[in-house]
Amino acid sequence: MPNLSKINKKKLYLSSTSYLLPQIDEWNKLKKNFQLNFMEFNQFKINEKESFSEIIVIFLEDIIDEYIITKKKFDNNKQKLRSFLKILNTKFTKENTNHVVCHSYYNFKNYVNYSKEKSFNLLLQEYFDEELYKISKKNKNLYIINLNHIFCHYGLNKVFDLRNFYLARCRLSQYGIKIVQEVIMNMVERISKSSKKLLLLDCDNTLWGGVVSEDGLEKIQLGQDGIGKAHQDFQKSIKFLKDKGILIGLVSKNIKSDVLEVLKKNKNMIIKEKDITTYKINWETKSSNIQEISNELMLGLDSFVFWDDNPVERQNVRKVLKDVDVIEPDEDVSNWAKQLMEYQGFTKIKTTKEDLKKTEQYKKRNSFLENKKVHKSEIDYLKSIKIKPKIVKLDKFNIDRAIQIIQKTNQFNLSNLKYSFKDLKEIDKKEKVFMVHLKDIYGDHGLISLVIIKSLYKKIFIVDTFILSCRILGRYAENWIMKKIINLAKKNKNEEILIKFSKTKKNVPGENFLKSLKPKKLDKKFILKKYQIKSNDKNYDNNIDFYSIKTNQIIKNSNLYD
Amino acid sequence: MIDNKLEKIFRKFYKKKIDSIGNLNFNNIKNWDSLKHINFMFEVEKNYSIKININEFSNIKSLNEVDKIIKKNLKRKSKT
Repeated sequence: MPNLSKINKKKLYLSSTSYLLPQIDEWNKLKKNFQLNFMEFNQFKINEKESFSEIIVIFLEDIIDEYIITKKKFDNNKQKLRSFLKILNTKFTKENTNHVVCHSYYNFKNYVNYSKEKSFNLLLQEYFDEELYKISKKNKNLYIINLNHIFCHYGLNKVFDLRNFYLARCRLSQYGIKIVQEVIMNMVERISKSSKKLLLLDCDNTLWGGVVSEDGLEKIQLGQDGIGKAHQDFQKSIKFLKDKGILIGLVSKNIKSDVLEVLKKNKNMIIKEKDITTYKINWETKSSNIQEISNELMLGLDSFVFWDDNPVERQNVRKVLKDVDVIEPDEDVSNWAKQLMEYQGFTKIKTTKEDLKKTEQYKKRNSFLENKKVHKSEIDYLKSIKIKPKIVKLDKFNIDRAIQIIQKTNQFNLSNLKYSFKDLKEIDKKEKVFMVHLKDIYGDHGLISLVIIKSLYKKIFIVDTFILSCRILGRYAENWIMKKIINLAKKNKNEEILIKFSKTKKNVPGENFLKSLKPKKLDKKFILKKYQIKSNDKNYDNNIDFYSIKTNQIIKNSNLYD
Repeated sequence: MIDNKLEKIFRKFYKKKIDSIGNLNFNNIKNWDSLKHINFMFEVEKNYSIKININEFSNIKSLNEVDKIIKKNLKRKSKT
């Protein structure tokens, strides 16, 4: 009988230069969420295709093996580190999995000795850190964490334990192991899951101190010393997130004109009206307002974060909308700015050009939807907004955006295949990969779609991946793209197109589009037989269904922009 | 007599029934290797919120000795 709990868990390998006490309970959280494999002490994992990630925890003192580095020993130790880095570099270049390198160096410091010059130990650590970052620039699947920065927060003396080292070759205390586990969990989550997209905020006693309808525009607490300064700093951290591409929304039980007046006229406000993508200021329940925002922006509730000072409101949202991350703000407003900056949900490993324009793009979407609603003819309206889609080849300048589309788009994503940077580069060498750029009178929407066409055995035309950013839906851009795919197939002398589809909880818009093509669902055994696909072929995946359409099919509304 | 809490921790690592559990020498327990010993001692530390030094840690031979060291550490802790 197979161990069912193992089947759906991703594999995670953990290697270290130190022994990490694999049996202790401090690892239980990772064990619960992953198939956690501890490598033999001081050994790396051998490349294995299905593994999800390898975490390498490096303690420099294990490589250097000397506590006090003198000038004489410095070069020799630098050479040791160089050789080690060379091994790592070869490994990362060869392997296609995600690697997270966590490194640390706890050296004994007599601060008086180093009051005039840096210690050699510190110089070695800096050298190692810099070289690792250089390697990570060449390897997109490599992520670096300097554990010392995190350990300092908790106290180096609590995190390290020399007794454990002499007893079991483990550099860390049990507490230190618990912290490393948290760091790994956070990092792996950030790599595998898309980050939160929208921060929804209450106004009174959240964005500012006091109640605007009672205190008045100028008397709310904002910007002055004390609580007003704390609220203003909280706004600064919100603005920071907004500038990184996080959408900001307001959900407030208030008089709309009062709130808008604060946004426009209060000079101490850091958040201005232009920073707000969406707002619901009324007396409806907050959960119903949030649900409405989700429908309007076509964003999943699991990408929403809600911040409100009122525990009753938080409880209501938590109860009704389970997917929304409801923050429990610190009781003291002084800590809010720090708390928001430390919140991991918004953290992005890479920010693309498109991210920085997010607020503007979603505001455009709102205007587009409002104007569309009031127009009598949908088609005439779409023609009038001068939509200009353009096919763009994948290249080194836009591949990061392509990866982002793969990782983050869940709703209009037909096959849901999550390719890595290296995978995509490989696919691009052999198959047809293109993106779509779109602009209209609402502005430049950037790269909004990714398509991968695979030609199996040079005769079968397969739409392996078809992803479209949801903020573009409603323009029939997907129909235009489908027509281009059909044209490609015709050029290739194919009469039939196979479309890969994998149903998920979220890709309903993608499924609806597929249904609109009235495709024929193919029996898996039939596909294997008809196209002579071997069951171990990488193009064949048990979780994926194949649908077929003919190339002579007419795609409705696909000629609106030609 | 060793206390119940300590016996409970020990039972997580050693399931066999035995009368005088306190005198049982760790060296005589089948499959009781150094790793098991360390993990057991870590559990003890965690449950009693104490830190056992390397001398005590390495020289402990029986549960009675563990019991004594716990008491000694708790006494030391209460003084500080």
